[in-house]
Amino acid sequence: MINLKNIDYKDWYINQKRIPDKSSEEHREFFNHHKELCLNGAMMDGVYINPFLYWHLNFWNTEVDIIDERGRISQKYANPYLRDNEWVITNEIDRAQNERKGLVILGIRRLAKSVLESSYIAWGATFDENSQNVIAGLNSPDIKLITDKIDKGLNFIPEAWRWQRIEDNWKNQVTLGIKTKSGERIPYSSILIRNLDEGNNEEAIAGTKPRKLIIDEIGKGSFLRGLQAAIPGFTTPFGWGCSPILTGTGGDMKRFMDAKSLMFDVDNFNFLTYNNSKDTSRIHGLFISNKYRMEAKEDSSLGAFLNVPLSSELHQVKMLVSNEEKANALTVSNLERLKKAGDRIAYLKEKMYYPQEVDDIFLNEDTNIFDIESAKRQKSRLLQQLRTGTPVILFQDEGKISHEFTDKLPISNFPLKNSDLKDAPVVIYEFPIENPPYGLYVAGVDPYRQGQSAYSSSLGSVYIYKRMHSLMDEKYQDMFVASYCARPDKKETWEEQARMLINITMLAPFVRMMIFLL
Amino acid sequence: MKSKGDAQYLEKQPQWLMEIVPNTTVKREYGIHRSSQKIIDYLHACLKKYMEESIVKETDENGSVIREVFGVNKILDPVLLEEIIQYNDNGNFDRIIAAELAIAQALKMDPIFGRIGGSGDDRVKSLYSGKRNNKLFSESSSLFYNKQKQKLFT
Repeated sequence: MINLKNIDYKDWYINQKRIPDKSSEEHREFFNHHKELCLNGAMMDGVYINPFLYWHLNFWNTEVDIIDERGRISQKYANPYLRDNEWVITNEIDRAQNERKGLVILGIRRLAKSVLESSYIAWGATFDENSQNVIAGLNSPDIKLITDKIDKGLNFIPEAWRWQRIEDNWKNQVTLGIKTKSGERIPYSSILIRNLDEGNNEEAIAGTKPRKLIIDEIGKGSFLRGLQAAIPGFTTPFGWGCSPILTGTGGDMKRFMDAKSLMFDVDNFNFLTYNNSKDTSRIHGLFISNKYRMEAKEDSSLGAFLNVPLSSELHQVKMLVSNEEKANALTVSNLERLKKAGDRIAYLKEKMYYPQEVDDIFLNEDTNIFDIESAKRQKSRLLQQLRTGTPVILFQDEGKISHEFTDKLPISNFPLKNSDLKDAPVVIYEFPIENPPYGLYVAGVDPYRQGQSAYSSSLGSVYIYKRMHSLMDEKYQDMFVASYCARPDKKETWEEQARMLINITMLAPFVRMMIFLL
Repeated sequence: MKSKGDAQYLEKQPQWLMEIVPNTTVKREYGIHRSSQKIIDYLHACLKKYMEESIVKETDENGSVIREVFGVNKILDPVLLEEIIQYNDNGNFDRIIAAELAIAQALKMDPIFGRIGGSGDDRVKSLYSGKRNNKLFSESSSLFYNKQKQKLFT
């Protein structure tokens, strides 16, 4: 266990009025002291200031919004503000490193994602000798947004730590190090840029040995295979030697299946887990909600944020803190306004950009025409009431189709998780009536191809729909009464169960009605 | 399924497909092909209509709606609902496809066959004439708990 230095706010690099002369011994000590804070962090009035946060606030630079002398909103290139966003995210990155796990962060627009990503990669490249610091993304424009920030930011770190670029290709690799006068190149660390090309380049990160790894905008394509290819590169006998940080933004989830798989199955992927704020039985990755939106920040201090006594020095550390009530009111009012305006796309965009619930991140305005909110309510109602049907296995018994109850459970996850058993049972919501009249039941079938990979998430699905039977009857009418969604090891098993399910609802001599998707 | 001798259960390629894509050159003996975006859109519209159809509406004395229940409440499969929530153009939405096909077929049958069963339907009457009780539905609860293995039909 390292004994962390105790520091005061006045000791922070940003508060230094004088930097010791370059040729002096004091200069060396001064930067060694700050390097130690950047590598190990420090304690301030009993509160841990994690090393990445210290680096980020003191040595990284980005465009920050300011009010100029004429009262206009302007920008300047300076150290980032401390907001609760930075506090939460950098602490979680620190925890991920200590626990040797990955971290997936999904949330609102302008949560400082790309600034933190660029700072994180530069932090690794500046201090970690021989390290490979990998920045990966699903497309070139997104990657460029980050590499541009790194490129510029590296020029603004103190000269004492600034390496020369001995290779300067921001599309593939930047190598930091020293060029001697004799032309010799001595590499110190490298920044590798890898484009997963929306999932088409699965091996983009393979072969690297990352110490820092960022995968940006994971909602824009398939990345899990790319991540899988990278994992051997940072697996050590002691666990993961690198904590991959994966990020995404609401509204940029065009191809989010992988992002959703990871976000809701974090534990199985060896990523940090968080309980859902409303439903503690649900876990997911780090969700930065609408609470953290920029417009709802208020001037405060780290001391006030942490609720420490007023005498604490932490009250000197300025901080922008979210006003949750204000953020929610703003979000709700914007949504109401857009709803009244009748602009469905704008409404969904607002909901995705500033998600109130973790599921809102995965909304997609382009293609989802269904009433999502009512579907969510109905799903929640069913789960609360435990109305999830009766799982059965169908079998032939002396020429008749019989059923037995089973402990097998229907597949309950969508998208399918790797750990899910695909050999699921038939689920009956209402057992069939004897001798059904013609056309009472219809079936929709979407089988799967046998040749598809065993790891495919595609299932064979059968839904049995019962049409209206009697105006006065209270039993199920115009409803699905049974379903079979599975992908057992043998296609024949699926076909057999599907065939029997269809048979039991359509066996009356003159009833033959189903539809089959070829 | 056809190759396994199940053709007798399959619906021939429905005629109404021609209404949606009149110029289609795809001719299959059975089922529906999803090669046309119009067909995909039509099937989605069927599910959407089913979900949004008002099935119960209660009004107060002024005629204002005080309670309304929509078709989505008739969906009892939570994972189908989850697929609906997450639907996009890229994933595998097998449940949605199967459910939509069934609804589409049912919708097309409604004007042809009308309401099925009920006391006024002679076909149903004939089915149950001569039986001791005329319950249309079997009581599945007794099926579940009395014996371990049961015939599906009582």
